Amino acid sequence: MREILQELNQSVGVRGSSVVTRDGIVVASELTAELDEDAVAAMASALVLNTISTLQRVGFGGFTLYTIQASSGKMVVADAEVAFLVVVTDPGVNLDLTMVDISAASYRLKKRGRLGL
Amino acid sequence: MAELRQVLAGEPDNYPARRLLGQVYYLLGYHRQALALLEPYAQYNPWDDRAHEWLSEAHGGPGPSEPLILEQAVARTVRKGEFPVDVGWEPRAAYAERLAERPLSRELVVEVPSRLGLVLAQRAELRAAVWSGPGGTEMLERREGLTEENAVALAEVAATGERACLDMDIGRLERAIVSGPAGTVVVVGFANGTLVALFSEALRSRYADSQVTEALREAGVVAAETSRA
Repeated sequence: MREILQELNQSVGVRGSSVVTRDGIVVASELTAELDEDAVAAMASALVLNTISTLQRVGFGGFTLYTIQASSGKMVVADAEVAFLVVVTDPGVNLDLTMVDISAASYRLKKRGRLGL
Repeated sequence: MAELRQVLAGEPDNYPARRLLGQVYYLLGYHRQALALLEPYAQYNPWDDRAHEWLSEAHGGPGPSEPLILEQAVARTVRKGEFPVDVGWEPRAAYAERLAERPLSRELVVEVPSRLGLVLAQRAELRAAVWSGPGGTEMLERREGLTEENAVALAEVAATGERACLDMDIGRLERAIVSGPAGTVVVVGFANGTLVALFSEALRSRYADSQVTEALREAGVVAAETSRA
């Protein structure tokens, strides 16, 4: 799992990535030293779970991708079935390009999850 | 942090709490406090390489976390207009220089939210559009099956995103997109409020995002320079 994250971290502008369970527990993490893995996991998990539970009230159901763009950074949370893939990027990165790598990593994580690896 | 301090006051030998609080102090730049916690911890667990790294950085002065602390302090001041008097590092001059270099932020301002609603309403795939500002939450457009209560739910999505940006210390929410099998939600943060647009599943997230961008242009939403404070 770590190798998937390490590979993803080679993409332009990616500052780090981690795999987090739905209850905010870090399964694997490759974040730069300035990012605290537990804090990132807790916030990403709270963000997604609160958003999804709110959106269910308008009949939205589940999610596949959540991208958030702020003035000093960007974060992408992708659904990897058994867990979330959380990716933190630089503010200036073009997410259209990085998204291909994120989707590929998420797909590989899903596959591993299904195989129980 | 207060809870961790309480735990340690009752159980000074609680080493996991000692490490965690030491780490928090280290990351915040409070190196003296970090040293006081991490030195006994490092003796207890000499194999914890990360704790040893923090210790050595804390011994050697500001360490590598300083640029991050500086950047976060500048971002916080830009966002909230507060001077971080509680920062534990010395180079205030560097902080002042960085702040002075920071250009005024350009933020989007919506003068007439209802006009934005009218423009968005022309998009066939739009299911609802909600404006949330200092005056409260307003449903700009809603298609069949959605209620006023749904407006509140959509405004909560925006509020959750804004809170996450603050917690992550990545600045002010500019845009968020949530996509799922049942549709796409686009959130846009403005200087004077937040727009949430919900699109049907027929529209892919990237197109939903460009629909909103196009609508903003048509509605005459402009970027305005706002002061740092």
